[in-house]
Amino acid sequence: MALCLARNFCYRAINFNPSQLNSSRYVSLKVVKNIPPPQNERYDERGARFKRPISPHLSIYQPQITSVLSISHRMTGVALSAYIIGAGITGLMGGDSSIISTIEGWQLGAASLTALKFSIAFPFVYHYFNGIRHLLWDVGFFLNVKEIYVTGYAVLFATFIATIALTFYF
Amino acid sequence: MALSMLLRSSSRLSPVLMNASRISCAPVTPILANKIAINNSRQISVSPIRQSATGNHVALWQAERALSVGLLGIVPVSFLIESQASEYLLSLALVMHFHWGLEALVTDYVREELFGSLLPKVSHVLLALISAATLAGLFMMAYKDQGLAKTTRKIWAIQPAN
Repeated sequence: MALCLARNFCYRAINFNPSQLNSSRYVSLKVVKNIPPPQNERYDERGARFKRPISPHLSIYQPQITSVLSISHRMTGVALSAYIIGAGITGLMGGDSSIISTIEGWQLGAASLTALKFSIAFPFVYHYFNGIRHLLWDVGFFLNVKEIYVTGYAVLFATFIATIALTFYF
Repeated sequence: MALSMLLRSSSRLSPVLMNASRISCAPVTPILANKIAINNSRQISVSPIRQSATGNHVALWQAERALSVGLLGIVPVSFLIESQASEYLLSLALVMHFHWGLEALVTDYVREELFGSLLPKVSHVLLALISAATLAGLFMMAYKDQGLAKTTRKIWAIQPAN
């Protein structure tokens, strides 16, 4: 470190410009009112205050079977909850008209009926099989990356087979 | 430069301290000054101590998993063997399962940092009301012999319009 200091002083001695000794420049000070920063400000709130941009995250991360199956488990769960809540609230307020009579009143064609059956069967089957996968994780099985991928593909395969069976053959 | 060397060597001298996640100070022998004992001991922790604000969650987690395992059996059985009792059981199990699931959803996404302090609490209350209403509706349907399993089988049996 002594060597660094010596080197610094030598540089300034060799490159000394005498005309810079007397150069000066005028500065002016602007008086600004002291606004103290807000109390208990979070990091992201401070960033928003300075209008700082946020790095992209979800928009750039490669979708992988791990994350896609996980969010699909949540989304199918929400869809199934919506079906059950819809059925329950209809039952609470429907009086004498039942869900069956409502659907029969729509007079759906064959394709629409198949689509309706698919939209009920697919979320249920996927959530069922991925739920088994989750419960196996909860007791400690299949927790390394290879097994997560294998069980993930197994869930997709089982979902495919069971959805086709339920939609077209029941 | 000498200072930086000293700093580097000091970390090599105490590897045990580097790896400890929690350090507690041994109580120092009390200083007896004029026969008054001053206790100088204090518990410190290097890693943050995590404490839940709402209590021990373990039992609830285990109940959620037990209910999920139960549902794995109840749903196929109630579709294969139709009975009034299984309809009530299916309705109760389904409502509890989706209530806990949606509660996790609301806790994850309706957060105080984003929505203020009132909306998360309101959302949780609203969810409880929706679950209660759904349970009541499903029980009414089961009472009128229009349970979920029976209704779903009837939906499957609907014939096309033409």
